[in-house]
Amino acid sequence: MRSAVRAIRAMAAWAFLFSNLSAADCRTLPLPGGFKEDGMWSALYAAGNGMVYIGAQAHGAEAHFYQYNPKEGAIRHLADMSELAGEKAKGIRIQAKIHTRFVEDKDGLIYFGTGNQGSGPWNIDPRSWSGGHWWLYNPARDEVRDLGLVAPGNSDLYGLAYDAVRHRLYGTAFNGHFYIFDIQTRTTVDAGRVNDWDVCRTIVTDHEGNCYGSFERHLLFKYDAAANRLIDLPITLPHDPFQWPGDPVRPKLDRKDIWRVAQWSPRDQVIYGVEGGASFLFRFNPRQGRYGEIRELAQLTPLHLAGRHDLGYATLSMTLSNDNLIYYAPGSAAFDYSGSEGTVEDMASYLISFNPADGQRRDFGKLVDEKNRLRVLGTNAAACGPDGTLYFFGAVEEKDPNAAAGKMKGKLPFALRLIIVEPAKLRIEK
Amino acid sequence: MKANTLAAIRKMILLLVVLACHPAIPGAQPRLPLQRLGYRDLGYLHFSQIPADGSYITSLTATPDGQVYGATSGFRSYLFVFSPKTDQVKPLGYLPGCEGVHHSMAAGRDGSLFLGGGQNVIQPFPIARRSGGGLNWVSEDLWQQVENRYRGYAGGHLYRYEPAPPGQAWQGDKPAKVEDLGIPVPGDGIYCLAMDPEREVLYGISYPHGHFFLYEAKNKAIKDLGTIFREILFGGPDIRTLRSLPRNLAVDRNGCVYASGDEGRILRYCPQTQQVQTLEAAIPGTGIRVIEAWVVSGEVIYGGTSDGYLFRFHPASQNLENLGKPLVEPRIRGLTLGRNGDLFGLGGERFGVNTFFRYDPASSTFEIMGSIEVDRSPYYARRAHQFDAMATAADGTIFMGESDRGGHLFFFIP
Repeated sequence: MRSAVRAIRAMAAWAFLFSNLSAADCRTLPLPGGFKEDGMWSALYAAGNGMVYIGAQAHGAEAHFYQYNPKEGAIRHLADMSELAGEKAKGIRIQAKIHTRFVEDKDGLIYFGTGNQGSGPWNIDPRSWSGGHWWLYNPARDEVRDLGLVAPGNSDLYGLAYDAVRHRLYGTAFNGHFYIFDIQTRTTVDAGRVNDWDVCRTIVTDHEGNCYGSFERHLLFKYDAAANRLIDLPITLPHDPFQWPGDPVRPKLDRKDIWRVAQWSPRDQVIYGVEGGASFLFRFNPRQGRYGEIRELAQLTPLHLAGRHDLGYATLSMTLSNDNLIYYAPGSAAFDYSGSEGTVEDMASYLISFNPADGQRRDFGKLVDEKNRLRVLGTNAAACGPDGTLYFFGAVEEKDPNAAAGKMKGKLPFALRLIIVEPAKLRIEK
Repeated sequence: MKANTLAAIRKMILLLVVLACHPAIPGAQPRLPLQRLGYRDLGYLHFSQIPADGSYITSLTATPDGQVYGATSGFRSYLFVFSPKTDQVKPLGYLPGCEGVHHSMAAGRDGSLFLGGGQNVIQPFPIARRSGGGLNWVSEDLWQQVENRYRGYAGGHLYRYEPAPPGQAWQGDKPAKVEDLGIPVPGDGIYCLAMDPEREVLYGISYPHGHFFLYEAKNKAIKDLGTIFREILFGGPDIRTLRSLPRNLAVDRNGCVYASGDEGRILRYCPQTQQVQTLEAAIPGTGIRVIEAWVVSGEVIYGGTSDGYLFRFHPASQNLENLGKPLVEPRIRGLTLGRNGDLFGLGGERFGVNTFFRYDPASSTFEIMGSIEVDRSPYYARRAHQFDAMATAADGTIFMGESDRGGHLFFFIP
């Protein structure tokens, strides 16, 4: 009798898992160390050396830096960022998040940024927070180095880009400011405020070292490296003007008014990105015309949500493959780990590709770890390895209560996992 | 008895529910009434006609006809006007060769505006890493780097602007129609400026060398009285609070001008004596401290300090009262007098979020009104962080100049 019940339960779970979907099969790997991180944004990078770098964090605790070795199929813990910043055992607010993407210079050195970003803990004096830091990881030496404080106060870094021409880093921070860091002299300059209530999560440099980002409402800024000026461009992001704000009462913290994620395409010499409201994929050519030209290419929501005006804000999970395809993993509702919107049943991460050369879109359905029968509940980072492997990172269903980092909507246990997708194995959704 | 107890419990529960639901319970985040707080873009809605990196508002002046004039700092300085007739801000053009008008705008008796220009003292600059050593090496090095930025600089100009009717003077990205009155201190910018409208004399402090100068409008004569500070302690870019140069000047009814000097002592220059005197009165605080903002109210002058204290100075008796420190953060960034005699101010450091406060002289009490967060949903909204100028319009509206990239003119209707 018990066996029969178990069998029925298993069948029900299987049916639930694969109901109404054509699954994009993936492998998933948990983070080692038992730190139970419950959030991760943008901080995923597949480096030229073939390694994959990850930054993850638990609210109220420190940020951790990891490395995934595809050959060994294992994730290794590299650093506790608050330890390296000398913040341990001081009773202060610490480097709690790696919220930036990682960037790489021509020598294979990898840069990133940290911050606290409201991670608290709330009952630690906020005035104890010193500010965000610039960091360098040297893969050859397997060494993480602190490049110093960005600025006193709320300089916690979000966007990060590398100017290969001048060997500088650009960053957007919690206070809405745009910072320029000269790696050689290790000096930081505050170039001024660019964002109001939402900070641009990803900023992009072009081949000349100019840096681009987005600000409220649906606008672009440019740091003109040659002129040393930070200017607002008279260019509007493609957006749905009927898109409902995330918070109908207050527009503050609405993440629908700027681009969520963007990336430079070395092949096309343009920026591809996804705006926050309707998840419109756009192409921005900074060399076209006086200020550049922007064009909408597609709406990268799951197919069944296209055209709706009550969408959740877009995810950060976009990457360009080595053959210049755009891969994007949207959710069905606004995804932010324990703070996600939507229902438990809706929680899913979809996979879409778009070819800017011919405009062909392919939908691969929901991401599912078939081997372990785990649903991917949402992602907020993406990268493509030198061998073409796609990587995503986010919340995956967790069956072991002791390993769960949190619960979606207070019900569905999840843990953070690296999600690995082989593009050759993907099947187009029927 | 039992019924009474139950009734009391019911009342208590009801009271708790009411308190819990009431939006203004003590201890809640101070919040200004949304409908009385707003801002204007420096041009059109969602579109500033002044480039974002030229729109740090660092000077404001209200004129009796109800208009509010402002000037900015940035890659270059722009002049603008808010008119209550149009309810709009419009640019009046830029000041060629000028990066900033820092606390340096005053209205003359005939309605003319006077401005003092200089380099941009708001934008931090990279401090080079240099080797060296010896006594006071660090400060000497910093001072040299500051001076280097002024090497080859001709100096900040004084300007006179004659207001024109709305519409006629509006300029986009063109030079403002100003009269160039010359350079008061060659090689230095102008850091702050005040006017004695009766005698038509402008007083100013130069940057970085701290010269005290005056300009007599009647005969267009400039007098550089040299430095009036024994020590000029430069704290670096404006993100640092401490410095020895005062960020503001005040002129009393008798035409005497006041500043803070060495050790926070009040300096006075009177046209009758034509001498700079160091008074016994010192501003509240410890160590290096300067006056950031002044506002004249009848026979007294209110001031705000770099340590964040508010004080009241009586020129006649030279008595100075410490009124307290409204905020935990240092720096009073702006002060202005409301029509009912209340004092409105903004305080906080450059890397934080400034806080709005009110001081009621009648009851000697402060009211902390929180940060300036405009929320006119669904039309417009903005969280402001930085301010460097305030003014009260003729109708009593309090104007606040946002000194950030992409600055806006904020207002509060008391």
